[in-house]
Order: sequence, then structure tokens, then C-alpha cells
Amino acid sequence: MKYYLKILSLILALLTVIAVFASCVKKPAADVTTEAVTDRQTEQVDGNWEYERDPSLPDYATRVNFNAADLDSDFNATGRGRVTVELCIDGDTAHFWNNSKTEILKIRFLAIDTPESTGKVEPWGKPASVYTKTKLNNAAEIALESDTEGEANFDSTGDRYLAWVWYRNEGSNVWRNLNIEILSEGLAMGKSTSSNRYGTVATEALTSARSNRLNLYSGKKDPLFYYGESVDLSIKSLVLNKESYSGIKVRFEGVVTKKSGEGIYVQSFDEDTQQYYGVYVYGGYASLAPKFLVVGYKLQIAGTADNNENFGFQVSGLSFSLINPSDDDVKIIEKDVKIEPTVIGADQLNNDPTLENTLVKIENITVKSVYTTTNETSSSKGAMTLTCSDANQKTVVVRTAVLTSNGETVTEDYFRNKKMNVTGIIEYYEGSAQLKLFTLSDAEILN
Amino acid sequence: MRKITAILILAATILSCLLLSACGAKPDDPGKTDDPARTVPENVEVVFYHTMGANLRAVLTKYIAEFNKKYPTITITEQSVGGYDDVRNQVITELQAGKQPAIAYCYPDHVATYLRSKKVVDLNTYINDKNPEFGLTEAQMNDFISGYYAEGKSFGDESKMYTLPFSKSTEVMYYNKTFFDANGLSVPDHWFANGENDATSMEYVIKKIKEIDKTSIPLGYDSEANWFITMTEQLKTPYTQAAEKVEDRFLFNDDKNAEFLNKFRGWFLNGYMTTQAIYGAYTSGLFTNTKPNDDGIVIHSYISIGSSAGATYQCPSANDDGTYPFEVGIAQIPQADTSNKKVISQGPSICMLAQKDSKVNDAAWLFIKYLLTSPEFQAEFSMTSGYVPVIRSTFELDAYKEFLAGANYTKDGIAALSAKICMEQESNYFTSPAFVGSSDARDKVGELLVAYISAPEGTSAADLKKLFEDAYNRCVSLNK
Repeated sequence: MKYYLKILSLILALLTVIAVFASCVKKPAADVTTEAVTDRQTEQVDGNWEYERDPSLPDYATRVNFNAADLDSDFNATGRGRVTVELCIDGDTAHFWNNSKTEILKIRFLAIDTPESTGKVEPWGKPASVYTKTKLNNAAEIALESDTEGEANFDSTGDRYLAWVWYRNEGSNVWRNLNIEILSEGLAMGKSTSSNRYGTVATEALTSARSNRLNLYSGKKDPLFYYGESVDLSIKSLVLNKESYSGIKVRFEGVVTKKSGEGIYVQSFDEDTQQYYGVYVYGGYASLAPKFLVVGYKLQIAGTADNNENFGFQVSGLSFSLINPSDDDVKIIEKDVKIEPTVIGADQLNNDPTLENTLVKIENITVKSVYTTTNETSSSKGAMTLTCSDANQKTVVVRTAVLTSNGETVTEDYFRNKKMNVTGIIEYYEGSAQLKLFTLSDAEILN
Repeated sequence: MRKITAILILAATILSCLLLSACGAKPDDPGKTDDPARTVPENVEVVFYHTMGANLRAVLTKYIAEFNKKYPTITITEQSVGGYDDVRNQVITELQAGKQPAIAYCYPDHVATYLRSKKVVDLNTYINDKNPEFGLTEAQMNDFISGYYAEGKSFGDESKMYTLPFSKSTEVMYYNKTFFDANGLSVPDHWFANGENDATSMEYVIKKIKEIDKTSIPLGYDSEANWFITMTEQLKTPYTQAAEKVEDRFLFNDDKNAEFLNKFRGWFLNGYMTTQAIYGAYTSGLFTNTKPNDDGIVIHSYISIGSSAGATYQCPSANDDGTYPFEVGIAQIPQADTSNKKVISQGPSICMLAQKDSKVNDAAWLFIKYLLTSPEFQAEFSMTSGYVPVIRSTFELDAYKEFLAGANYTKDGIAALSAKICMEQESNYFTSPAFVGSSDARDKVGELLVAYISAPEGTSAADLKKLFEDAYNRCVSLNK
């Protein structure tokens, strides 16, 4: 009997050790899934970012279930529906066509906040953007789901819908929740992560990414982010070598010629070629930006160059300071610099791409036809494209902003058959040059 | 065999104890930070959770670099964790695992919850340190705006200081000055009309606006919870109190509160007002809207009450020719009783959470002290965010004076304009008591306001009263 008691005591002691040890060992946030993950171990995605995923980690994206029935409805009307990708903006925002293909929906992904990769580039912003884009572009089917039954909700800007993004891959019936997948891969911070219909799993996914030190939480450098010092250069060097400088922090000087939305056009004169070179600079929504980004100011600007497929070539990620500015804060070198546009003809407009983003003037052109943007959902509704010709019957395309006069939108009648001098910025649209006018005074009517 | 058994049992017992102590069962003792012989720590990492976006992180990063010039062996790892709720939820999760950050953005509600873990550091242990490297001087303490500083002591024991203010904001009233001037309207300074022709009451003004522009929704109020709580402060009606018994903490189920909700309900049913939850987005979007709807009508508001830190969102976009669709005016929010002016104090504070290595807390304190006593940091943070500084010396900086001098209604100057209005009402600020469950009270009174004012016309008084009871019962059940 004593012998059995001893054996029992021994077993109890060992069980105690095991129990204590088990309680101390950090548990994964949830059990490891049994789903095969072999196709997800290594993903070669755009932008030279090779992401090796640990296949032993749980697959949180399939831990929530999606009712894939009745997807033949419009998300904007019912809060759920099939969609197709129109444009991937960054890691947490994309534009989709709704199911009936009647409206483009701007979608902000629920519960996640990926680092910036457009107006400002932050570490891990590009990998998050690449990840989302790759998943959406390779999906066989995509659907959106609102967090509220039966209706779609806007985000705090009132301009974008909030949604869960579901997708399934070719040959698979399994719907994956992209929002949760991005969280689980450590490519996003949380944003009201716990307070929604999938809050529990979403929070587990985020916690797992943090504790497994994935990507953003790895403590490692983002392989797609430029950590070096700013490169000092001229605008000419920058715009003639767009690909080389894309993703690099650059610093240059130039004069602001025009403001457009949150951005500015900046140009500087090159003595060698005796011409101006210009670049578009996005100022972001920094509250101090308007104090610096003023037409006629000569500035020193430091920012990240980006040959962005959605927005074209631009410099963004500016910083401003009125106190102890650093070398990379925007600096005002001179105020009230007089800006004279370069007078050019139709040939130069149409055949000299080095003039892009510079301020030019074209004289004596006649409006032959006018097209007005009428799409109700477009922010350009009311903007016009004026097809003009010069004295030699060469074509000059002029694009206007939405112009106003005494509070009223200017319409086609104002320009029809008019002869005029125009001053604006050269932009490219679908590979062709056009002159962009920003205000009514940019057009000097001659007849 | 007996010996082997005894040895094994002994080993098992010892191992169990060792594992228990090693796996975090022993809480980090916040008292350990009270070390009379503190020295500047070396080679430590301080993790700081916040909610800053890209623009503010740029400011923070700049000042981390400045801090590191003075303390090169302290590494500050700042992490934007999402919104305030995300910070709270993340910290709560990590407190359970013993992996909490050293510094976190917080609201008093959050800290009331964290206090249950006993890992919130009493900052007085540093503030009162006689070592000038660590302690705050009398002048530094007095430099804090007193209303903000007092918030750190509002956790039931005034001898403890659990938070310090980081940056602050309040609610202000934005109005379409162009429209007001054109129609001879007065800016309202109180809510309810004393007679039919009380032209400076909100009640009168929104009715007039609706008569002038029938398609408008004259007033938008962003935060339903703030509105309810502010009304209880202004009217001195019951809201909450820190009490031992859960049932005694929630006092808002009171007929006096139903009185002001009945007024607001009337306004809502007449189409005079909306809120963020009802409108579906920040009401600044309604205030600045210039886009026609499908019927070609531009629906917008003429008054918007929201955070002073969101001033730039209350400014319409400039036209392409640089002019603005309308001029924005900013004023203090209306009062119920002009002899008892009250306006909510909001914006983040920071708290410190105890670490296994008390040197990390020492380093965290040096960073907190550096940021919060630096008028330059406070100025840059304010100019970038629209939040107002928490120390008076900021207002003596030439650059900040210049910033305030540039106050105007355009995108260029509206943040400064808002900051000025904030500072003018410094003496009117209030904060609600923080206790376990206070955040639930806040959530529920916000929901109550929406449900009450938007209940269908004809809803019985009993059903409306039940909304109050439901909100109260929910608060109690959540905290039982």
C-alpha cells in the first residue's frame, strides 16, 4: 500500500510540475489551425519584398465565417455584395466597383490602420500596400461586408465606406478575411480592432502578430523603406531620373508656381539647358503647410520621391516647423519671387516632356471644342477640356479645374470659340501633354 | 526508493515555486520606482504607446532625437497603436501578460481600469524626487495649467498622481459667419430661449436658420456623450460619482436630465439638429458640404460643435482661385447658466506602467519630463495638431505668439483661432470622475441621447423613460 502511495505521490508531483509549467508557458492566442498552409509559406510579391511566413502560426483569416450567399447586391445599398477592384490605394484603402457596376466605392478597411505609403511614406507602409494589392489582384472573387447588418457605413471623413474585405482564391471555396489577415501578418496597427463583429478574432490576430514580432512589430528595418540621409540635387536631376530616385529622400530648391489642392508645383531654372524643370510636391494635411506652401516662395524642400502608379511622380512626406527646424524641414529661402511663365508653342507643349510640371504660357489659341466632366460622383464635375488650335492649326489641349466666377461654376459658353492666351502647368494625361488652368484669370480672352 | 521519492517531491515543489515566480505571477511593484538613489539609466528601452498620426509622429521623432542628445543610452520606441480604445485594449491585454509598455496615452477612464492591476506608477515618486535630474521644480509644476494638472489626482486618492497632461482640447462652436452676417443672426451663447425673441439662444437661432434655409440641418453636434455630460455639468444635474457600490455610481437616470433631452428631441423632430451617430460621420462634413445631392440640393449645417483640435476639418476647402466658400467663426459652446460656465476638458494624458526593471521606469520618467516641460515641444505639437499646450511657458515663445497672431478663418489660421478660443475658457473646464465603469457611463449616455431624441414621434413617455432605465441597468450589469 505504502508503495502505491509513494508512486501516487510521485505522479502527483510530476503532474504539479507539468501543470505549473504549462500555465507559465505563453500560450498562443488561439490553437494552431489544421488547415494546410503550404501555399502561404513564402510569398514573392511586387517591389522586391520577399515575405516568409511562419507556417506554424495560426491562420486567423479563416477563423471567422462569411456567409457567401446572396452576394448579387450592391454593398452601398445593402451593406454586403460582390465587388471588383478598380484601384488599390494603400494597405488599408482600395476602390471597388459595386456588384451592378454602377458606382465606384471608396473603401477603408475596418479594424486596421496600415502605415502610410502615399501622401507620406512610413516604414512598413509599402509592404502593407504591396500585400493588399497582391491579395486583391490575385483573388478569384471579392466581397465586402459592413459591420452593421443591412447598411453600409461611412468612415469619419464621410467620404469612404468602412468594410470587411473578403476574398477567395482560385480553386478554393474558403473565404478569407483580408482585414484580419493583414493584422495577423503584422502589417497594420489596430483601429477600433476589438469593437466590431469580428473583434475577438481580430484582436487575437493583432496580439499574435505582436508577440511573434512579425514585420511592423519585428524591430527590423522595412526593406522597402529608405533610411538614408536626404540626397541634395536639382529638380532637373530629380525629374530626369525619376526611377532612380523613386523611394529615396531628396532635397532641392525651387519656386512655388501654383497651388493645387494640398500640393504645389515647384520649378527651378537650369543654366545649362536654359529652361525650367518642375515637380509636383504633395504637402499633405499638415496644419502648418499653408504657411510655407505659398505661390512666389522660394523653398528648400525635403521629401520622399515616389513614382506612384496611381498619382504619378511626386515628392511627399514634407515636414514643417516654426521652431528649431531640422535640415529636412521645409525652409523659406525667399518670399515674393516674381514668376514669369515660359512662352511656348504647340510643338513644345506636345513634344518636350522635360517641360512637365513647369509654368508656361501659350498665346493666340482658339477653342475648337469643349468637353465638360459631368459625372456626379467625380470631384472634377464641371471641369472642362478645351481642344484648341494655334495659328498653324496645331492642337493645344487645355484642361481646366472647376472654375468659378462670383460663386458660380463657369460653363462651356465662357470658352466656346474664344481666342485666348493661357497660362498654366503642363501635365500629362494618358501619355499626352495638356495645359492645366487653375483659375479663370489663367485664361486671357482676346475676342 | 523512499529517498528517491522524497528528492523528486522536493524537486517538484522547488521547481513549481521557481516557475511561478519566473512566469510573472509576482506583480511588478510600482513602489520599486521610489528609489532615493536614482541615477540616469543606461542601455534601456522605453516603449511608448500613443495614437499619433504621421504628422505628429514626425514631431515626436524630432524630439526623441533631441532627447537622445542628452540621454544617448536610452532608446525610446514609440508605437502608434490605433485609436484611444485600441491603446486601452492593448494595454489591458499586456498588463495581464506582464508585457505592458512603460508609457501610454490615456484618458482617466483607462487609468481607472489599469489601477486594478496595481501597475500604474504614482508619478509623485518622481515629481518629488530631490535629485534635480528627476524631480520637478516648483516652477515646472506651476507651469502646468492647473486644471489639466489636477486631473492626475482625480482617482480617489489626492496624494497620488497617476497621469500628467500631454495635450488638451475642448469643444467649441463653429458657425458659418458669412451666413450669420448676411442674415443678421447673433451667435448663441446659451441653449434655451427665455421668451420667443431671445435672439442669443440656440433655440431661437436654429429655428430662424431653418426658416431661412428649409433644406438645412442648422446644428450638428459631434459627440453625443460630451453633449449629455456637459449638460449635466452646466445644469448641475446628476451624472456619476465614484462609489463603492456599483448601483450607486450611475446617477444619470434622473428626470432633470430627461428635461433637457425632451428639448433636444423637439429640435431633432423639427429637423433643427443632428449628431455624429445620426448623421453617420463627423458633422464637420455637413458643415463644410458644398456638393449637391441627387436632387441637386446642397444640404448643410450652419453651426457645428466639435473638438477644438479638429478645427481644420471645419474649414471648407478653398476654391481653385484661393477664395473660400464661406468664412468660419469660432465661439465658446452655449451654456445653460452663464453664471456656471462649463466646457469639457479632453485630449490625452500619459501614464506610466511599472516594468520588471525599475531602470526602465526611471528612463521613461526622464522622457516624460523632457516632453512635458519643453515649451518648444508643446508649441510644435500644438501647431501641428490643433491641440493646446499644457504648460504656460509655451505661450511666451515668439514662434507660438506668431502662430496665434496668424489666427483667421482660412486653413492657414483656423487651428490658431481655435486654440485662442480654448485658452479663453480655461477656467470653465471640467472633467468627470474616473472610476471602474465610468467609461461605460459615458458610452451609455451617448447612446441614450441618440435613442431618446430620435425615437419615433408619438413614443410614449413611459418608453422614453425606459431608455434611461435600460442605460442605467446596462451600466450596472457591465460592472457587476
